[in-house]
Amino acid sequence: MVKTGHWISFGLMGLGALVIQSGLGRLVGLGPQRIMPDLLLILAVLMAFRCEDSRSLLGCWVLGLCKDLSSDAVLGSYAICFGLLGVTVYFLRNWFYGNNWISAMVVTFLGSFLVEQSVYLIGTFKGGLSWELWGGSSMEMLFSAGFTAALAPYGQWILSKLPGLWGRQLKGAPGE
Amino acid sequence: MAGKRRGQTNSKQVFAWLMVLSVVALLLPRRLTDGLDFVLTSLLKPMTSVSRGWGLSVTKNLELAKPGSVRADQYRQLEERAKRQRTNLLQEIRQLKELNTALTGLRQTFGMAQASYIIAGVIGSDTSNAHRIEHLNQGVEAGVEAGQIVLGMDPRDGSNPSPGESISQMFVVGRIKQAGIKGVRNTKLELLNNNGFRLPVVIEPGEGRREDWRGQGVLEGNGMGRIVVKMVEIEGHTVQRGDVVLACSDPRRLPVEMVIGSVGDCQADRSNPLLWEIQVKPAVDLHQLDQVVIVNTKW
Repeated sequence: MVKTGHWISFGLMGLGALVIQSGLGRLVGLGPQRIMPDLLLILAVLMAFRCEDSRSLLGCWVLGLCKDLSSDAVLGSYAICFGLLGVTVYFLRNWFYGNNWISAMVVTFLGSFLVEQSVYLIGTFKGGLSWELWGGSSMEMLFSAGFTAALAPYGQWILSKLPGLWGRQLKGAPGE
Repeated sequence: MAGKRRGQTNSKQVFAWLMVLSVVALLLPRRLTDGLDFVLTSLLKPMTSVSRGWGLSVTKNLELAKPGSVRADQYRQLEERAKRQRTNLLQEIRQLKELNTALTGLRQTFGMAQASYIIAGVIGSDTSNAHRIEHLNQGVEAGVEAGQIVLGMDPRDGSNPSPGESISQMFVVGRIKQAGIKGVRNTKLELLNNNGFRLPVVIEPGEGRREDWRGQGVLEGNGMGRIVVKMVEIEGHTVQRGDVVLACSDPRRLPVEMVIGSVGDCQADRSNPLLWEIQVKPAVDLHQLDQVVIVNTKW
């Protein structure tokens, strides 16, 4: 049985991440390019990493959909990519596990970069993005992935202080 | 135990169907799916506006010097801003002279089209790094249309632009990308540094140069948030750092040429040595915008 409380805590965290990303992301972005971290992706990765329940996959998809709707990306592109990222992390997490934050940072870094590359690829086919700008955009994605990964341990810390999402959190999960 | 397993199976099935739904959404034409963006942004508007306002006030306070003291770099910034505003005024004078000439000859041309100004607040940014797009709190009901030029003001010159009085203090910051849907006051502003942004521009010598020439080119958002101008006709003159970049006047979009920024760097284009690649430094910090003015020529 799905506990409503879990959905509420997920909703509040997702909403908080979305509001901060949209309202403050560019303002606090790094460098003249104002590169911003992807808070929604951090939440998706950590949820898939930490939560015992497969309902966290639904959460990843919902977060991807929120990103689709709050950006100019093609509708469905982030939802698919976040969903696939969630599935990958969910099924391979026992391989990554360790009681340190480095594994989560590495997964977040790779996840962020691959998701952005995939969305860009979809955008070139459908959303009017051009291949000529792929090089510059890739550099930006790399920096953004680094920034996102650097914030992942803080995300872990926050999640470890909040009630578990969708079932108890796994033993040995990063940040425990 | 069995119930929990059933719940897990159901959630996996729902997830699989949602993924299929996403693929279907990908295949749909964009015009069918674009309206949904505006609905979510409108729902989030109160919260994102508050967080953005708070962020702006914090970043503005960090930059403010103690009363009575102005640092050398701040002085230079102020001086540069005053110069750009002067350039805007000069363009207005140029246009008024043309108007005067035309009226004297009792002729009416498209170039003298007047414009009304729609004030809009910035309520949030695009959440993806790939798109430099801001969301505004005005919609089609206010006369906003795709392609309209948007002007912004440096927050340090005042927070609320009042069209007419302070239009010379404003600079081109972008263009309306999508004007939203009926009943939803939300518009997408594509900033100058968005990937793929293009706008015809004119380059003029800067303040210290006693030369009289103009070069035409196309401004482009070129990845990594850079703004470059290519294809400038030099005509025996070299473009230098500090030269002024102006948006070309267009009777349908912008009645008078307005400052975009200044030349930050100028190098020969690697792909074509006959052309210059000019990096543009925008006159306004594009990501610190609080309120903007949309130029509406159809009033």
